[in-house]
Amino acid sequence: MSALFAGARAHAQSSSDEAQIKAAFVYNFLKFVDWPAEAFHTPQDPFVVAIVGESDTADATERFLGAKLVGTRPIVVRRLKWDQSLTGVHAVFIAERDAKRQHHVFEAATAASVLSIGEGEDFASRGGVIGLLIDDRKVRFDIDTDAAQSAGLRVSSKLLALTRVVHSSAARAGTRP
Amino acid sequence: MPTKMFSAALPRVGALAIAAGLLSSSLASAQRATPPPATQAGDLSALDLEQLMKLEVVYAGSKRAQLVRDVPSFVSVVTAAEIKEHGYRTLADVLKTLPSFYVSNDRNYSYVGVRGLSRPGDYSSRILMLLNGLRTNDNVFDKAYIGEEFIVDVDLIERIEVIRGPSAALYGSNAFFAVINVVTKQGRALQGAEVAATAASFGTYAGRASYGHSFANDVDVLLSASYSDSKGQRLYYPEFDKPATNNGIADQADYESFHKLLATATKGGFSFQASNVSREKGVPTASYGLIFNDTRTHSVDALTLGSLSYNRSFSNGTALSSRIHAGSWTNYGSFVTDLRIDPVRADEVGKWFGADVDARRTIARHLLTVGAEAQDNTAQNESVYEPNPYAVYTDVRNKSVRWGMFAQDEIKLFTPLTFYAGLRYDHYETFGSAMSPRVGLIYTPGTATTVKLLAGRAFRAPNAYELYYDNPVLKANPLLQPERIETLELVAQRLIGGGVQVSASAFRNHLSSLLSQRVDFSDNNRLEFVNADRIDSRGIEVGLEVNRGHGVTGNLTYTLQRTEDHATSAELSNSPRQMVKTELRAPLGIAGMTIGTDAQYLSSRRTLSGKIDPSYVVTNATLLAPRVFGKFDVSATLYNLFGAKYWDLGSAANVQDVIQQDGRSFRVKTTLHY
Repeated sequence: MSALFAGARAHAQSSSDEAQIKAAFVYNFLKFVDWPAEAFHTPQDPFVVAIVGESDTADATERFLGAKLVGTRPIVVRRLKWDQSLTGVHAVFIAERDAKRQHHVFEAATAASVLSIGEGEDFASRGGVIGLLIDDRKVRFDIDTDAAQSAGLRVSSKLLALTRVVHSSAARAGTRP
Repeated sequence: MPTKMFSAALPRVGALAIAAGLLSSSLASAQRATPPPATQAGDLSALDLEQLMKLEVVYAGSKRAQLVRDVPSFVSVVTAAEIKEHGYRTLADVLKTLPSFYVSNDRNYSYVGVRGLSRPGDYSSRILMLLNGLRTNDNVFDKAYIGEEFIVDVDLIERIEVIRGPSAALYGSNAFFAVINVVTKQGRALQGAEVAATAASFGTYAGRASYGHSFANDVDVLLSASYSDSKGQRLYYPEFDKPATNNGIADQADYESFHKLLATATKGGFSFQASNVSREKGVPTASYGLIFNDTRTHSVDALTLGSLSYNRSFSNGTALSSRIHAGSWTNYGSFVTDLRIDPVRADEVGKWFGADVDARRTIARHLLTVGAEAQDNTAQNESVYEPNPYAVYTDVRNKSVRWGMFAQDEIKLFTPLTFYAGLRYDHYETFGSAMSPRVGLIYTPGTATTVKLLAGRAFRAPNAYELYYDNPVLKANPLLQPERIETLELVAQRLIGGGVQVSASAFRNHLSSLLSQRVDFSDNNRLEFVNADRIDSRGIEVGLEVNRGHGVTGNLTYTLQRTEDHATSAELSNSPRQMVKTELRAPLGIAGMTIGTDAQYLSSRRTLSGKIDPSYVVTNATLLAPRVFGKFDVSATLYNLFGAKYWDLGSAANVQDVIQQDGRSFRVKTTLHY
C-alpha cells in the first residue's frame, strides 16, 4: 500500500482518490471471477459484498459498489465483524489488519466460496485471493490462484493477464520473493 | 556559504539573474505525471481495468495522495526505475532533465534555478525540499540541498514529486517556486539486504549497504548506510594563470566525500524516521580573497533529521496526520586567507524542533483540509574566527519561533469541474506575519483532457543569515521583510492516442521585495540585505510524451521564457531564454537490458559581468542490466557523452565570471540483492 510519504506515513494514510481507484478495481474484479453454481439460487439474487474492518478503501468500496450491478445482479454491501458468518456472501473486502482475524476470515471465505480481496503486498500470499497494492505509483494487484481454487472460484484469464504476480504452487517454484 | 564574507568588496549587482521560468512546464514526461483518464468517482465507474491501471498517484500536491492530474499545480514525478535507467546520481541530475528547472554548480554546491530565476550567489531557498513530507531546508539559510549534500542516497528514493508553483498556501515559507517531495523506499521494496558498489571518473568510489523488510503485524523497517570518496579533478582557471598562483592549476582541491545514514520504521499508523548526511567538499575556485590552490579550503555540511508521525483514518471519514520532529544542521567552512595563519573558520549551526498536524474530511461536495504547525529554532548561530592565534570576527547567536495554520477546500462543482481554494497564515517572531492564498480550477471534460487555471501567492521569509549575520564587511538588517511572488498559470494536457500526450502551459510571475545585497556607503561600505528587487517573468512551455508500450518511452519539452528586472526591463543574468529537454528509454531486447538516454539544451545566458555564457547541449546515456546471474544489477553510464564544453556562472564571490563544468565522465555501478 503506498505510504504517501513512504517511510513516514503508513497504511492508514490512504486518500480518497487512491481509495476510490482501488474501489473501482474491486468492482472490476467482481466481473472477472466465476462463482460455483450453488452460489446463486435465482438470476435475481443480489450479489453480496461483505466488508470486514475499517479503512479508507473499505469506505470507498462501500460507496462505490452501492448502486452498481454485477451482470444483472444488484450489489448489496454488508459490513461484518471478523468473526461473523460469511454464508450467503460472494465477495469479502478485508480491511482487518490483525493477522489472526484475517486468517479467520480467509478460512471462512474458502469454506463459503467467497472471493477475498484486500490491500498490501502480502495479502495474496497469506491466504487472500486478490491483493491490491501500489507499485511505481500505480495501483496493481496480485492473485493467488491456489486460494481461488480452494474456494471453488475461477479467475478469468483476462484478470490473470493483468495481474502483477500470480501466487500458486506452480509459480512459486521460479519467482523471486 | 560564508565565503560571502570575503566577497564583501563586490556588491551583488541588482540585475542578478532572476530568470523565473514563467514557462510552467505543463508537460509531463513519459512516466512523469498526468495519466490520461479522469479521476472523479463518477468517471472511475466508466473505466475498464486497463485504463484504471494507468492512473498514477502522488502525495505532496495537497497533502494527501491524489492523482497527478488532480493536483492544482503542474507536477512531475520521477520514479526509482527512472533514476536507475538514467544513472541519476543526485537530485541535481534529476532536476536538470525536468522542464522549468536548471542547475548551476560552482564546484562547492549545486544551486537550482526555476523558471528562469537563478541569481548567482543565491542559495536554493526558493524551493521547499521535503523528505517524506518533512522539511529539510535548514534554519539558517533555508537552503535546499540538491547535490551530494542531499540527505538521502538516490538508491533509496522511491519517487520524487516536483510540484511547481507557489504552494505556500499549504507549506508556508520557501514553497516559492516549487515544492519537491522525496519519498524513500519502504523495507518491503528491498525484502532483504542490498549492497552496492560504484566506481566513477575523477577517482570516485562509493559503497552502500541497506537492509529492508516488511514483517507480519504491519511492521516495516529500512536501514541504510552509504559512503563515497572522490578525489576530484585537476582544474585550470585562466583567471589565476600566473606563476604565483601555480599557473592557474588547482590540484587535488576538488575532492568530495560524504556519508549518509537512513533508518525508517513503521507499524500501523506510527512511523519513525531518522536520517543523517555529512559531506565535505574541497573548494578549488579560490572565491574572492582566498589563496588559490590551497587544498585546505573546504566546507563540511551536515544535517540530521528525526521524526515520529502518527496517522489515522476514522470511521466517520476524517483522516488525521500528526508529527513531531527535530533537526540539527551544521556548516563548517575552512578558508585559507593568508599562509601565515591557520585557515579561517566560518561555522554555522542550526537546531530546531517542531510539530505539525492536519486533518481531512469530506462533507458533501467539499474535501476540507486544515492544519497547523510550529517550529522552535533553538539555535541559529553564525561565527567566523581565526583558530590560531585566536581572534573572533563574528559570533552571532539567535533563537526564534514560527508557527502557521492553513485551510484548503476542494469543491467538486459538477463532475468535470473542481475548484480549489486555500489560505495559510504564518507568524514569524522575526518579521511578523504573512498570508498565502491560492486558488485553482481544474476542468476535465473527458478522459483525455485536463485544463488547469492556477493563481497563488507565496513568500520567502528572510533567513537568519540575511537578518543577523554581522561582521566587518557584512551588516545585519533585522528589519527585513519576506520576498513575495504572485503566479498565474494556465496548463492544458491532452492524450491524442497512440500513446502520445501533449501539453502546453503559459505563466507569468511577479516577484517583489527580493532580498539583495547593497552597499551601505554610510557605514564603511558594508554590505547589507535589503528588500529591493522586483522581477517579472513570463513564458510558455510545450511538450510531448510518448509511450509506445514494450517499455519504450520518451519525452521532449521546450521552454521559452523571459525574466527581467521590473524597474529597468533588463533581462536578468543566468536566465536562459530557451531550454529543450528530451529523454528516451528502451529495452535492448537482450537479457532484459535497457538503455536510457537524456539530453538537455540551454540557450546562452548573460554573466554578472555582462558577457555571454554560450549555449550548450549535454547528452547522457546509461546501460542497465538487471539481475545479472540472477542477483546483480549492473549499470554503466557516460555523462556528457560528447564531451561538450560548457560553463555555469560565477557569483560575485568568485573571481571567475564563468566556471567550467565536467567533460565526459563515466560511472559503473553494481548492486547485489540478497
